[in-house]
Amino acid sequence: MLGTGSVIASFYIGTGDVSVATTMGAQFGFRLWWTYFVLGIAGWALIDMSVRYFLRFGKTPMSIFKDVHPVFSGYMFITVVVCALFGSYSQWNACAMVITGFLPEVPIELGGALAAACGLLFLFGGVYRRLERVFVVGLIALIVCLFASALIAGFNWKEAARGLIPNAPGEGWKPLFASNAGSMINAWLILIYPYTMIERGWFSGKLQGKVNILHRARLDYGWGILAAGVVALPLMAAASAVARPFGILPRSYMDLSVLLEPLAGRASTYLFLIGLFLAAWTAGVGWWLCGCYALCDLFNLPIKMDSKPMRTCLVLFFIPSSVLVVLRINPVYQILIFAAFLAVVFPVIGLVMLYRITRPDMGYFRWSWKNPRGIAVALLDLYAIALSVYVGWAQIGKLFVER
Amino acid sequence: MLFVVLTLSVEFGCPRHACGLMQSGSLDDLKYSVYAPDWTWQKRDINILVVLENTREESAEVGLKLVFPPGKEHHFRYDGERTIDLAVPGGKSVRHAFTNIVALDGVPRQVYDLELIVRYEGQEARVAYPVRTIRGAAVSPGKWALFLPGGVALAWCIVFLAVIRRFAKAGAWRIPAEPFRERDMLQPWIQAGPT
Repeated sequence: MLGTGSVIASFYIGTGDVSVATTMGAQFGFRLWWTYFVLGIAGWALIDMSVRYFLRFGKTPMSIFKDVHPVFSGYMFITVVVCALFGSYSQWNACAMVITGFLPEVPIELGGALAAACGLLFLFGGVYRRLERVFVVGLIALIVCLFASALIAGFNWKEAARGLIPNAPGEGWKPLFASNAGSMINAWLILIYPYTMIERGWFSGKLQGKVNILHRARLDYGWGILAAGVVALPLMAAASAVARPFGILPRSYMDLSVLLEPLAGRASTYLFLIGLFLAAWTAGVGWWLCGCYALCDLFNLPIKMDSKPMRTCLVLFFIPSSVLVVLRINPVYQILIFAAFLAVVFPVIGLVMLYRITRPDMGYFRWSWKNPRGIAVALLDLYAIALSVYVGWAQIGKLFVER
Repeated sequence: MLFVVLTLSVEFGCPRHACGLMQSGSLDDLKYSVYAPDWTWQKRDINILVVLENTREESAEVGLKLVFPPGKEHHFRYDGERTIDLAVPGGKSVRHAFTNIVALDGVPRQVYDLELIVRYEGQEARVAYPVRTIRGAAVSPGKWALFLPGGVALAWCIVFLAVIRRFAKAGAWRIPAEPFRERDMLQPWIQAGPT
């Protein structure tokens, strides 16, 4: 049951989630926790679109774009390669930081390459079921690690509960909200779910079967999105307990782990770092996986983990994403920019999908402008697009002007 | 499995403290502990955390001073106060952090002998804090942190295109995929009717 939900969660719970949540915690405590759930609703509606299209026609997500106009194939090709490379590289970079944190003698480049090589070997196994099992275990392990670390450091449950109520905690919250929007409203999340349905054989020619699948899938990716909010909580708690009193904004994951030790002891630091490593590693594997599926889909190649084109794509992703670690760019800073970059490319994808899902030939799976539920989810999509336009173009532009 | 391997390797293969420097001592009734990383990337900041614990009943006045290596002060950027006086209530502990100490680039990478001085009732303790610098980011934060990896990724699109086209049929990128067919053995819950 929650296997693919955990694969979806791995996308959300990567360095982006860690960076955003710790920065939020260091600045505002738990007061921005609500953003995960507001943005999560929009993310949920977007995944729903690609699943509906797949169930209606049995066609893969890239066919949506080809259906509308082949020019979008070119757009998607560039976007998939750039985003999957950038996204996975950021995760290997974070893995490298953790390895170097434990073992300073190990060069960052070597740590990153080792983490990436482990990911490559794991995916070369080509067994989708095993991937799901590992991701479920990994997700549980990282939730346990991060919560244990935060509980040792001190956890104010009442304050956390208050963070669920939408509020504007003060100057500086909007850019954080924007970065979180880039992380949560993520184009790849929208696309990957149907690929996992193909791997699992979740398709039926009968309407009843399709509806059964839609209901179960909704729970599944709902869990994946919810997990991002759940994991954000201990990260916020740790940052709130150890960095906020000193006005420290964690600019590297090691900052927080160093600060955790005096307050919560060595165990807390190690649990935090292990949780961080798991989050980054599974997210790196997830980025590659989705990138490879999407590229195979674009060229109508088999959507199978153990296919030759899939393995070739994996090697092609491995080479640059591990070599780029040489740049040693601070992953916290980089992922904030990358989240904004994702928001730049998303509006086109969101608009094309909305156009396709509201066509009459979608039948039962259509988002119709003629009924309240259809209007509600379509408005959610438009909200996500508007937010992405604002985040991607306004915020990222401002950042460059300031620099 | 991965979790177990990680935990075991961390437990048996890692240094005692992830933070690097963890030095504790006491001056009469005052206990102090200093936590800081013992290495940093150039262009990145260090935070030094000092925990002071007053074990007597009366309040204690404690002075802290951060000392940079003589002649190498300009290798660092630090806008905060280097000297600070703190009142530690009786039986309580107080934490203070010297934050955002940036090890600058443009100088050879080396081990810097920083020092932290704790003063209490006419006595002082000196905590040696050697910190090693390693190579920092190849590009400054800002647009190049996005454009450089983004540019590499764009260039890599050509490699992808050249390789994937060998597997694909001509013009496949324009044609929607064939519909997925229902498998012979569907899971029972998919076939279930309304209850």
